[in-house]
Amino acid sequence: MDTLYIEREIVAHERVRGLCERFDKAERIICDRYGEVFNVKGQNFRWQKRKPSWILAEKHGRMVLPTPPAYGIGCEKNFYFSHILNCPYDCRYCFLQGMYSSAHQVWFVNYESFQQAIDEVLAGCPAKEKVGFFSGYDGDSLALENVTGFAENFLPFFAKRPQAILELRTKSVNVGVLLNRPALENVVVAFSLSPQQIASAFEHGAPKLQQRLEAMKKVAEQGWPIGLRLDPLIAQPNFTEEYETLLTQIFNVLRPEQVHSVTFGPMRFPEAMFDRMSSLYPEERLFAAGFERRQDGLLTYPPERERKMRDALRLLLEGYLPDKRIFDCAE
Amino acid sequence: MAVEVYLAAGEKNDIVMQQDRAKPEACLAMVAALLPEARPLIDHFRLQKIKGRSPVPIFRSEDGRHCLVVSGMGKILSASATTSLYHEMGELSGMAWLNIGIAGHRTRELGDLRWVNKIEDAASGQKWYPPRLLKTGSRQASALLTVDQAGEYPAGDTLVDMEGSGFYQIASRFSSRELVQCVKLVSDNAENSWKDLKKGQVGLWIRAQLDDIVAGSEELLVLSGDEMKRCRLPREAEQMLDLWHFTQTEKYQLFKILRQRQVLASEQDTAVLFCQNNGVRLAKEILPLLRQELAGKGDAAIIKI
Repeated sequence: MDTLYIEREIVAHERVRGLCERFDKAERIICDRYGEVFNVKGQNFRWQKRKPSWILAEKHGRMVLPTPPAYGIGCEKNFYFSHILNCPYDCRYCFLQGMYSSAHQVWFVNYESFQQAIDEVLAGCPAKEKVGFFSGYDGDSLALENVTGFAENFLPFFAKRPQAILELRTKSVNVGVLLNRPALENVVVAFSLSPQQIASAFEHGAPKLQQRLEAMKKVAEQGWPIGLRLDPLIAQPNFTEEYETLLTQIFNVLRPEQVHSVTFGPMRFPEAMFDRMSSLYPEERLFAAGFERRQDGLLTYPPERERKMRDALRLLLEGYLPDKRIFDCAE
Repeated sequence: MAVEVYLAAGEKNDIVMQQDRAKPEACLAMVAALLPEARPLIDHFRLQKIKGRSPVPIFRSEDGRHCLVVSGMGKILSASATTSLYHEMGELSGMAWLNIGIAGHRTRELGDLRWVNKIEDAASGQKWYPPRLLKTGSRQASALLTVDQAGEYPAGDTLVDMEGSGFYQIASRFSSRELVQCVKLVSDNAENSWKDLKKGQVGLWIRAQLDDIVAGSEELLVLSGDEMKRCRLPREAEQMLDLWHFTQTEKYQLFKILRQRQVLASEQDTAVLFCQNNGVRLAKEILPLLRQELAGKGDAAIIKI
């Protein structure tokens, strides 16, 4: 961490001071609002990813937002909130590289405002409804835990709100915070996993598949409900065999009853986002062809190919899990 | 394109050369306000003054990897000279830009080298934050306030100059902001007025800090090379534009398709040959034909790892 941009108004915030003390050699640059630095026109995600800076900011406005309709793991209502924007990893298929022109790591330090907003959402929902809150939509929930203390702060909060289901989504093996405390029934620890070859080829900087499986095993043994996140599905030769192997690897370390939910979905991007991603990496085979533009403007694999991949994976999953725990995000 | 290249006026070998201006693989464009700031760089990078239509003196290395303009003082002249240099160099995508010059600072010692991490235009209040990508100067950065007239020194670790905002505002329109940086040498402080600056002193300070400036320049040059490579169109694009007439929109689509085709192509015909072999006569027939060809390669695009 070489450079910290800090919003002027939060210079004295305890989380900011803590970070500055810890990284006391980092260059500090004061800005008025994080938008002066982040996602400004004329920046390049690819080059910034070589040395991303941190931006410490305060989130204003809508703190908690409804998820897209197909995004869910069995709750009646679903919302997401983002205490961070961007991720330390560099997965070539990640939509963040098409969404933002900056690769800087934004950290919103005002956790209490998020928690207040979550309480307001819960207050508006019938008590018998389960309400899902996704924390890893714009970044990895656990990868930066050692710096942000996000889970440390939010787990006690969710422990007192059993109506709410928190999803921590991660590719990291940074699970210490979960192993030092009793598991919570309403917190799903969701691991994003891809077959070995896909992970090696496209998930740059992320822990190896085997390391993630080992971390997942420890978390499951501690009693935390486990989520399996198998998206995006990327077309490849021997697709079925690759996923068969992946599921074998997963269920070698997990018992089916430890799995709260599985979600999967194909690669889909709005056309403008896809264009930005492919122009960042013109040499990338992943973006070169094989996609079609749908009527709604999304670029996807041809419907028949997409259906075959989804059907094949569902069939494999049904060999391990009941249908009600399998969620196809494309449906 | 052939251009006349001159050595700097007043140099001993005041000869005219003709040279083919091939596009360099990377390019660092430097902007300095005054010749004393520019001279150490002109010497180090062996730049030669070029005769062009530019109203400001422009210098260029033989290989085109380094160029420099002497803008004159003030942000408007700096912005204008940056634009001139951009045009003179052939409006290259992916040029790196570096503003080198002197600046005041309330407390820092004379001759201190500071890379700039924030630029504020005093008149407009507009701010820019040059991304901190370079290893060089990662512990040697200050903010910069650009003013229209010399006045009091700003508080805190802030430099003050008269060009930075003009340069950055324009250069960051020509290249991605990661490629646009400023570096300043402290020329005056609360105890040493700029009015007392001795002739030749600026050159001495710059020469003393040349290693760091050159190290940062080299990093920028690498970044420029990467960006030019990213932006480079397939070779056959130019050939196709010569053979057929495309609208701007069609050109954009053609480039996109040719890049995709290039990734997938291994031993196939060039797009030009492919189009000619399929009897194409008009540009408007080309895009559907190439799209159809790409669609047929859906299976080939499936990732082979």
